[in-house]
Amino acid sequence: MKEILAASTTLGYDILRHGAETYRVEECITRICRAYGYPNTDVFVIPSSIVVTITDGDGSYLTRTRRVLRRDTDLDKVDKLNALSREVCANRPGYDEVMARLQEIEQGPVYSPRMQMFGYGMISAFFTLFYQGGLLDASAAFVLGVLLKWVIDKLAKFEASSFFINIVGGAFTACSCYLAVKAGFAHNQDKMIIGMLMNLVPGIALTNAMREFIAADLISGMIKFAEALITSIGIAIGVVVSLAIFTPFLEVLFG
Amino acid sequence: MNLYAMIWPCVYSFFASLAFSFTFNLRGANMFYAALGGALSWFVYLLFAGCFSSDIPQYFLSMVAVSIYSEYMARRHKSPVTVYLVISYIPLVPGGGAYYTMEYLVEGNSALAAETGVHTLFIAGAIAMGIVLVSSLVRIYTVYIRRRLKARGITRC
Repeated sequence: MKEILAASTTLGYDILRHGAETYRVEECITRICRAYGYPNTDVFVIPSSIVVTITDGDGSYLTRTRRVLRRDTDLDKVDKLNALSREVCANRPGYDEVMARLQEIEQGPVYSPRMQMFGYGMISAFFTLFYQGGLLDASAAFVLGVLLKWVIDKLAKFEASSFFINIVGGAFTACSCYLAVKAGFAHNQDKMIIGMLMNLVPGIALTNAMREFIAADLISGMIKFAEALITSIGIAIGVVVSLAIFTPFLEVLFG
Repeated sequence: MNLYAMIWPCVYSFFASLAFSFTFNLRGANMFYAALGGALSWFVYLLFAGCFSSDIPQYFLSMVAVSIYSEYMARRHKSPVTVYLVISYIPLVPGGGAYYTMEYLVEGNSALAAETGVHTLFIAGAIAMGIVLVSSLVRIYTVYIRRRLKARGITRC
């Protein structure tokens, strides 16, 4: 009983932490417990916490709580954990095997920081083109996108809050694009800023929030919606402040 | 709209979506399928260009197409829908509208800022409606299939 609770909760914790929806986590845990012969399971999941209680046939019960402090979006791990959960339900492997598989997935590959910087550059460049910027703008946006990721990584290393990171990210985007255009490396400041901001916009949080609402997980939906709102406010503060203060200041300075 | 003008934006959205795989740690063949969804989203958007008096229905139809595509891919590969949906719809995110709203605000042009801001909000709403519609219908369909399987005595884990 203890082992089943530990295994199912750990799987739920991992899949939640990497960005799965609430109903998926709840279903995973319930199904695993049912597959091992505990049909009476109460699961409560919100994006920051999991509570699982399983009840025995003779009325004894066991509860486990996990607090989720740090979340990221790792679609590869969500996919693999989802597959593992199906497999566990179907084949019912032993406790040690499940835990070994979980650890194996958890230590699975992630893109190196350098690759992620490259990704930021690509996103910036192609969205600049997408919003009808020129090739010159796109190449400048590529370089600035790489730098943007570098700045974000450095801030994350000092454990800055994500709200502050978004403000700085927005400000960096607006200022660097202004400087690039001023220095003659590119022409369309607005297209570049839009392209680079696509890195920061909380598209994923907003879709997930909508999907939570459809699945009637209102608390999770509210949390994710608030997350999306705060992220956009952060970006907007960064961009507006630098457009309103920094740019005119430099304009005066350089004439 | 001629075909040549349609191809390039779709190519750009394909590669932009592909690059998002690096941020969200998506690997292998799924990278390609998710990016293809990104290209599809903008293709559908351009397909309906000029059919309506505003571009908001275009966003809605495009989101419906992307949601159906993601649900189909998820079932085909036995992966969560999120894997495809999150990346595929990114080209539809109204980043341009959001930026110009801020720019007009800074310039002190509040009338244009309000107009652009409301338009951006409507686009976000249309996108959300698209997901809501498809996901809700798919849920009903799934329950229907499950019931039918149960009636025939087949239970799935």
